[in-house]
Amino acid sequence: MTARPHLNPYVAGVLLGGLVFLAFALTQNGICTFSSVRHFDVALLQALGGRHPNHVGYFAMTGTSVLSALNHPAISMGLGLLGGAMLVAWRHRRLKLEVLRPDAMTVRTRLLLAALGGALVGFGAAMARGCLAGQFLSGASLLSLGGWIVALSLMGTAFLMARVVRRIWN
Amino acid sequence: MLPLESAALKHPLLVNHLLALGLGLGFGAVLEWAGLGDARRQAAALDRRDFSSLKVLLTAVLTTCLLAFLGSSLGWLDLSRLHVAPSHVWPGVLGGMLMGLGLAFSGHCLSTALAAAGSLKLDGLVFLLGSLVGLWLFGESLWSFKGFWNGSVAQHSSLPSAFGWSVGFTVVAFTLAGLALFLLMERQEGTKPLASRTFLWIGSMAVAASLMVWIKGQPTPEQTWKHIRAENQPLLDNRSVFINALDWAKVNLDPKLGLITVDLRPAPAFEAFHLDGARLWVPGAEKKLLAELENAADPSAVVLVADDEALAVQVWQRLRAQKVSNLYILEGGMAAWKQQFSSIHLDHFDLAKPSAEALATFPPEAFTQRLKIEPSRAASPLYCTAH
Repeated sequence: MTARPHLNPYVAGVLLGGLVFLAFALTQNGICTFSSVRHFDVALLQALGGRHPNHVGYFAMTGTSVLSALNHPAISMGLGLLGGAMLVAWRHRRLKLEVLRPDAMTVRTRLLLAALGGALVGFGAAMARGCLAGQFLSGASLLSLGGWIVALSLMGTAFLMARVVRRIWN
Repeated sequence: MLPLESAALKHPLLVNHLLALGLGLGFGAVLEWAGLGDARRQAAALDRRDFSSLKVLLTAVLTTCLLAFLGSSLGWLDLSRLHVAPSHVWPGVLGGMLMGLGLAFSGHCLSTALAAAGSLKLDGLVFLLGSLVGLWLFGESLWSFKGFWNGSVAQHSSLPSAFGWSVGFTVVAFTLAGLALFLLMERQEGTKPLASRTFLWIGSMAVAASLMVWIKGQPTPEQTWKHIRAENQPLLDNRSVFINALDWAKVNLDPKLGLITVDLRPAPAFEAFHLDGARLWVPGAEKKLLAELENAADPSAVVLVADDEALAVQVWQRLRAQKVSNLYILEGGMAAWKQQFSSIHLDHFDLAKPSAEALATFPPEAFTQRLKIEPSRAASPLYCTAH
C-alpha cells in the first residue's frame, strides 16, 4: 500500500501556527523542542555522570537529579511530539524503520551527516537559547528581535550552503 | 483574559504536563502530516526546488503572529505575560549560523528530527543523538565563553520597538512581506498560486487580520488596568504598596539594591528639593523608565513621590498595567518626609539622603520594611502595553 499524500503546506502552516498560539495562550510559553532535548540530555548526564553534572552550571540549572530534569513539561511535550508523529505516520502508512536519503548516498554517509548536523544544531541551539521552533516559530511570531536575529542567521547560513547542499543531497 | 495562569490552579505541574503532552501530540502530528519529518524536503527547500517546508514554517509564524496580536487588540490576550527567550545579539547570530550549517548537512532541525524519529526514521534518531553530544559539549565548554554568551543584550526586545514602528504597522508589513515571499517561492517552483483557492483564501484572511490589528491598535495602559484591576487594586486599598520614609532611606543606603525614585511633583518643587537620585516625571520619562527596566540585568524598586496621592495612585496604576513590578508610593509625599526627619539634629545632616547615623536614631519598630525587591514573575516580557 502506498503512503498517503502530505498536507497542503499552507493548511499545515495554519494548523502549526494555531498550535503555537494555543501554547502561548495556555502555558504563557511557545513551543521549544530544544527545551525537551536539553532536559533529556541533562537527565541522561545525571544518570551517567554521577555528581559531575551538578558542578557544571548549565546542567545544574536544568536539573540537579534525573527526576528533577525529567519532571518538566518540556519532556511531556517531547514525548507528545514523538507520539503524535508516530500516530500520523502509522495512519498515513509511513511508519517504517528506514533511513531517508538520496538514492546516491550511502546509509553510512547519511547517518554520519545526520550525527554531525545534530551536534552542530545541539551546540547552536544552546548558544542561541532556542531552536528553530523556540526562536522562529515562537519568538519571531511575536516579533521578538532575538527570534528574528536567530531565524535570519539560520536561514541565511543554510541558503548560503546551497551549493554544498546540492552536492550532498543530489 | 488569556494567557491561562496555571500557577493559580490546584495542580499546576500536572496541568502543565498534560497541556504540554497535548500540544506536543498536535505539533508532532502536523509536522509528520506536512512531511517535515522527511529530511529530503528540507534539503529540497535549501536547493530551491521544493519550498514546502519553508511555506509551512512561514505560514505558521504568520498565523501565530496574527492570532496573538489580534487577540491583544481585542483585549483577549495579554502579550506582556508571554515568555520568549531573551535577545542576545551575537550569541544569537553565532547559534543561528551553527544551526544553519547543521540543517544544511543533515536536513533536520530538532523538531523535524523528533518527528522523523517518531515515524521510525533512523536519520532522525541519529541526528538527535548528535544533538545530545552537541549540547553536552556546550555545557562543558560554556565556562570559557560565558561572558560572550551572556553579553550583547539587545537594546530592544521586539521589532516594533527596534524600528520605532507601531505594532500594527509592523504586523501589516510582515504579512505583506510574507505573502510576497510565498509568491516568489511559488514562481520559483513554476506554479500559479493566484489560481489556487487555498492560497487566495488564506492570503486574504491574513491581510484582513493584519489590517484589523493596525486599525484596532494595541490596548492602552488604562484599558489594561481594567483587566488587572481585580488583582492589583487590593494592594492600593490595603496600602501595602505605600512605604514610609525610613523604608526608602534604608534601601537607598544599600548600593547593592536597585532603587529608582520618580518625582511626580511640578518642576519648581523638584528643583527646590528632591530626594537623592530622584528623577523628574517629564514627558518621555515613562518610555525611558520602561526601556531601562526592560534592559536592566537585576530588578529594581520604583518609588513614586508626589504630594497629591491621587496622582501617585494614577501613575502607579498606569505603570502596573505596563508590568512594572516592585512598584511603591512614598506615603504622604514630601510633607511626610520632612515631618519624619524633623527631629534629627545631627551635624551635616542631608535631608535628601539620610545617613545610617540618622537612621540609627529611630527605634527598630519605626521601620515597616514593606519595600521588597523581587524578581519579576514574567522573566522576559516582550511587550509592555505602551508599545
